Amino acid sequence: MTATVAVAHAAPELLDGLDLSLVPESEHARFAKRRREDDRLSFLAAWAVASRMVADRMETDVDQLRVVRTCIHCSSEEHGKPQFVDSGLDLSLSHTRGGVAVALGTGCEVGVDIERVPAEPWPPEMVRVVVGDDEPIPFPGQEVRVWTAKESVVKCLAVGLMAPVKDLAIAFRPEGPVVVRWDTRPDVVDDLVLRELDVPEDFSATLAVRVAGGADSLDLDYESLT
Amino acid sequence: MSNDGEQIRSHITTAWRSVLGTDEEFEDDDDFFLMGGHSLLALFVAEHLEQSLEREVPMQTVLDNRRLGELATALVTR
Repeated sequence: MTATVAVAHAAPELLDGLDLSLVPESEHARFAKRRREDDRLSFLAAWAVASRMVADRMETDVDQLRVVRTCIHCSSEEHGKPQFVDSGLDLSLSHTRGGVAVALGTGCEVGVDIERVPAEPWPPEMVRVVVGDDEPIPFPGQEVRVWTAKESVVKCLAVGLMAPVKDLAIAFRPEGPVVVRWDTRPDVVDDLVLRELDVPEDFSATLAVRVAGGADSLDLDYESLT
Repeated sequence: MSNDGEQIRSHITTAWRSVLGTDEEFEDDDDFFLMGGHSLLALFVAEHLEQSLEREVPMQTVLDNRRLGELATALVTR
């Protein structure tokens, strides 16, 4: 089986004409509750990008799209991984101040995370929480890359951060990051493919894809909106 | 809220301000994730609180109690 993933990232300020009409109605309440302007803008941008991508693939209008959430742990419809109804696409979106990333998977599950690279290195106590002793970091001061890799995996499987972050171990090899251990879901390790996304240097973004057969079965269609 | 609760609430406020990069006041009903927080910052909050309260604060407690008042209550009763 071939899986296709479309990934887009965008700086919100580059997206002209953003308004709520570009966001599925089910997300309007979530938008309204957000207090910080930069947070509202990146939320809006992420959903606008996702909605445009999905509407294009479904050959429909954004206002026809409907989003549902179902938590795999408690079945709540208040939270959980969002999905566009009847799209046949697995959705993941991430936003941070000044940047968004969206992944759509066909025949696979996807997770994406984007973060700002902090101006200062993480304090040692934070590094110890996120990075395990068996995870040598080849780039001191950029531990956030470890985080985005782990968060993308957790979002891909929609498991949330129910287990310690260090249950998941990432190795950074010349070809990119790989999952070498995941105590919570050892059954999926061989099917997880990670890709660091080509984003501006003050961001870190990672895409995780769960696809039977791993990287050989993956066709990555990457789209940059910046 | 008890003295313990008020003290913990103060620690939470300090942690939220630190990780969110703000000096604003928070109400008990304020939701961390709607104030600009996300999972990485929640991890930072848990670590911040562990340092200031000098006891274990599981990440899950921070994730399960998104509102200031809920988190204060959860930490008082732990």
